[in-house]
Amino acid sequence: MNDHDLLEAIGNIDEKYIKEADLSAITPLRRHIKQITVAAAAIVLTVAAALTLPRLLPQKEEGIQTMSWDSGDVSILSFTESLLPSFSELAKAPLPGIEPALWDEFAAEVNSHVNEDLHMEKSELTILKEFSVMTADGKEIRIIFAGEGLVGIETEGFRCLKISEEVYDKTVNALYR
Amino acid sequence: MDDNAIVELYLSRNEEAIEQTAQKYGLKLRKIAYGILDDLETAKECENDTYNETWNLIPPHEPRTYLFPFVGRIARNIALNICKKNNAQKRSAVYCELTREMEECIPAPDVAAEKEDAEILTGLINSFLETCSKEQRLVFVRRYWYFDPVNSIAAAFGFSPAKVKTMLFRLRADLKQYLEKGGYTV
Repeated sequence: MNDHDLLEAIGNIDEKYIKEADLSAITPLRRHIKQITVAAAAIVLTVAAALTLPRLLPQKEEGIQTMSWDSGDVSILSFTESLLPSFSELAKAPLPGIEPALWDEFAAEVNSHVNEDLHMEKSELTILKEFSVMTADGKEIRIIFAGEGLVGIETEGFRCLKISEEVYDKTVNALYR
Repeated sequence: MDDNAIVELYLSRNEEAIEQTAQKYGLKLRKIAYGILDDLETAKECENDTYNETWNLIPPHEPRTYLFPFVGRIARNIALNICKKNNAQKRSAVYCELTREMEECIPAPDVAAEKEDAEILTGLINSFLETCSKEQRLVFVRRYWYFDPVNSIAAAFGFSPAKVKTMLFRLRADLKQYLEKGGYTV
């Protein structure tokens, strides 16, 4: 027996272990856990900010200045950043094969995971496909497909997100078509 | 389309079976092949060879409930054979790394040679996996069946890469011990 034989023998392990380790069956649960974590973090931040910010505000001689949370002040805690623009905001069509509706679906899916950065470097990813798009205001965005729903987005910084495999597959299949 | 329907297409010799398999599992198959070959073009060829091989194997096989493990295994074997055939210079760094890791699990060669039987070995690996915790098993299978890089495993399960490396190191040592106990004794 040599190392290669052992790798081959592992190839024949019981199907139940292969299915068990299929990421498409694992990630939804993890994603929910992450979403709950992000939501909990947002609540903690909001409460902390509500308690501490008024104390930091300049005080008028006649008393403590009150602060309204009804306006845009809360936007500093906003978690609705978007990474990819919609199709209509692109300088031109991204690549043949990616129709406007598919692009918008892909962009919406990426944007919905924008706060779930996996903190991976570009060099750590297995790059299966990479291309760039230009926004109407001249900003270049590089998009990396790294398999099983992993998408890298490179603009000023780099972010790696795990998106729905269904949308991922649909987009990559369109690219390869 | 569900796996059962795809297998039915194969059984009725309908070529749409290949198209449906490619649509459903093409990316995963390519990723497995790419994981060890480290070359996208060869991985694509390997994916196509997998479809041909699947076409030849169904029938007689009818993997209605395990189509992905079935085709994944074929892709994996084709990719491994390409690596084996390549000379040392051409072998991918990933293959060399994986075979080096496997060396740690292999007991003394003299006794091992006597019991060299793929089925027994696979049976032992199966029962070894049964003794592992689910977490250990997932990491082991992702690394040595799906050929995922350590960093990808870490990202997928929310572990640090160091934790994954330590888990794999311990699992290899445990597997070696298990194989020895199961008859591959030194």
